[in-house]
Amino acid sequence: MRKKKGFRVWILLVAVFVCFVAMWPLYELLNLSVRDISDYSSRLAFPEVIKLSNFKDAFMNKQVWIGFKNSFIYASLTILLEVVIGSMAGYGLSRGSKRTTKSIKSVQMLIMMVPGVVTLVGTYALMTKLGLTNSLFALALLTAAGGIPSCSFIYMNFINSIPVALDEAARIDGANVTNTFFRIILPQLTPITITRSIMIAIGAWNNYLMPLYLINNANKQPIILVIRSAFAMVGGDRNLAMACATCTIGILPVIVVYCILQKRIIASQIGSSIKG
Amino acid sequence: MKKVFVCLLSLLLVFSLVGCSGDDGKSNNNKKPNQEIKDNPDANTLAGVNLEIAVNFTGDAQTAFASVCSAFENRYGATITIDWYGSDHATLMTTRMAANNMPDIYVTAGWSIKKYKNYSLDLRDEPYCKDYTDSALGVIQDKDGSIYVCMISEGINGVVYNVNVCEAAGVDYLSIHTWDDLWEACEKIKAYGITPLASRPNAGLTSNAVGTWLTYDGEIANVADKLIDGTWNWEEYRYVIQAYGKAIDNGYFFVDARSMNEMDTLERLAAGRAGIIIGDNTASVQTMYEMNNKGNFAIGPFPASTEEGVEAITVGEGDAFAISKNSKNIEAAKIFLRYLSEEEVTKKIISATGRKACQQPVLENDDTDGTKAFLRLEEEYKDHNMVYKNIFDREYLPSGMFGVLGNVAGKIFADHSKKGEDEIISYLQTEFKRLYK
Repeated sequence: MRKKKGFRVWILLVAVFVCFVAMWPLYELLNLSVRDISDYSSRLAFPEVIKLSNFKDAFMNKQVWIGFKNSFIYASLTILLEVVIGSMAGYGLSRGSKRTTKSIKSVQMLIMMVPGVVTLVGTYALMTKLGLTNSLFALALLTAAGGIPSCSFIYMNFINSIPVALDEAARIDGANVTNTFFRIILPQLTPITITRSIMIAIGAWNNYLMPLYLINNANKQPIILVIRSAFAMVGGDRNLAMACATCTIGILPVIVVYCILQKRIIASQIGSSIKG
Repeated sequence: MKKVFVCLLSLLLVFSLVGCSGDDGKSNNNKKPNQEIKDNPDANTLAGVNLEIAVNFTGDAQTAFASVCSAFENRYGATITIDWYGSDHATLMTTRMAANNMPDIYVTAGWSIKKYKNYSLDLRDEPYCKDYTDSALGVIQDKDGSIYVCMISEGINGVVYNVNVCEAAGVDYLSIHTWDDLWEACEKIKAYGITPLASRPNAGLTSNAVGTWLTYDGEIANVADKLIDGTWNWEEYRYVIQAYGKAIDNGYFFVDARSMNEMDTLERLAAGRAGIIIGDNTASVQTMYEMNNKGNFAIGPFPASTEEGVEAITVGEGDAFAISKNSKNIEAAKIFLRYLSEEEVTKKIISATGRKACQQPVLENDDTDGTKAFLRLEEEYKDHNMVYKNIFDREYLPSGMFGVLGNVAGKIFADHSKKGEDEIISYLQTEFKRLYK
């Protein structure tokens, strides 16, 4: 019994340490965001004066709201494209002939293994030649294209756990493949769809590389590029406090969504891993 | 679930339309001609032309450049799309070079010859080329006489001092002639209770500052010829490693120097938390005055390595703009560069970037902080044995070595023992051979 208690204390200590390490950057960010521009004291030290007006100024910045709007559109489009196409592809792969599925799976795995940055030059050249720069839809299309292999793979594993007998029963009742997917299979995919949507949204919200290359127009920039601009020098002074306030505001939606849906995300992830 | 799916698909359609519509990044296409256009004889001569310009400006420089571009649009009726690449400029331009998709005009950020010349138009016949100072021509003119950029300012590199801190610590920065004098000054500043050096491990230390150890007459070594013909084995670079190693061991740098960024460096010197930065420029002096207008900051040359050696200021490309060979708007781009080299326009930009003007007519009437810092340098060091040289890596090293020397700075801070020193020399030999090919 004592041994078990000691073990728990160790786990607790490790958990506290991990939390401490994870929270450190957030502490620095918040600490810097409420400072005065002239406060050059250590980043770990408590601010000399707490200046909440940095947040007010950041909120008053029109570009922040444009960034939010663009990030919302970009994330929504990416979710729609990836979930719609990924779930349908996953169903096809799950119910298709094993031979075809196996080869497609291999190609998917191959695509998933290639880091996006490796194909950066080719992708960029293609996007510019097709005139797909400064378009949020094009950006979402590109992001979704990169995510669909893993998305359909996850859907396929999930759908594998749904008995084929359900499809057969639907067919006997006169449903075609589309009807079977939308009426019978899709309702079973709610947990994985929610999980994937949140993951895709977070990924799109935080995506930096491709927006940096493809979105030059300030009116189309997602929030991540607005944060980047804030960290550049502003008005001759590097207003680090203001930049950190902008960054805090920028990452807030992701944190809020995660906090609200935390239980659901974890439950869905466990559910999908068991079914997969 | 089906309803949800239908809703999702509908939303997809709506967002697709939103995403595809609207502004395509080309600014002011529908702008009505204003009074300025009507009154200007050049108005609308470039109507319908859109110029894409990629720049690395941020902060005040960004504001100044945007205003200058806006005035150009008003004067000529062209539209300008500016790619604000900031600190990612080099990376993004490299990708665009590889994708053969260069903007019409781009900032060359110090590499007009070595990196960009195959992509850039030769501008030697442009009217502003006759106004360049000799130091500017030394930096941007290729061996065959080609000039690939319209350069409006030069970068002046050396050692930056917080004069107030130095004076308080009993250091006369003008009496520093050799590196040993500099280390002695560091010792005094340390004894005063302040970290002497705000430098961080970057190529400013290990590339920009090393000419006075390695390549000039009277210095501890002169391997300039071997560097140029690619036969140097980097053994003499040990002087540099040992000097910085000793400075690290003596506690002259901040303990968190390895995690500092450029602005940390400037902030600490501006706030009087350090006394000296090795390997910085007049633009930084201006930035520090903006951070602390009560401060007193000066730039001086890199010290000599021996009593007989020379102190050196290195001069590099400042704000320089090239035109892509493949641009569809070459004539419009040339007009834009001529406009940039007009005195008032140039002054507006360099007053924001803090660099020194490099065209004679502008230089004669310039009172910007960058030029002031340079003029103070000229005045204060007129009795010193000081020379102006091209930036070390651009003069002697193959493209790519600047980054390698940046890595070397990190390696010195990580391990400057004999073993570490040997590893660094071996790394330099390998990379130099590879890049020289």
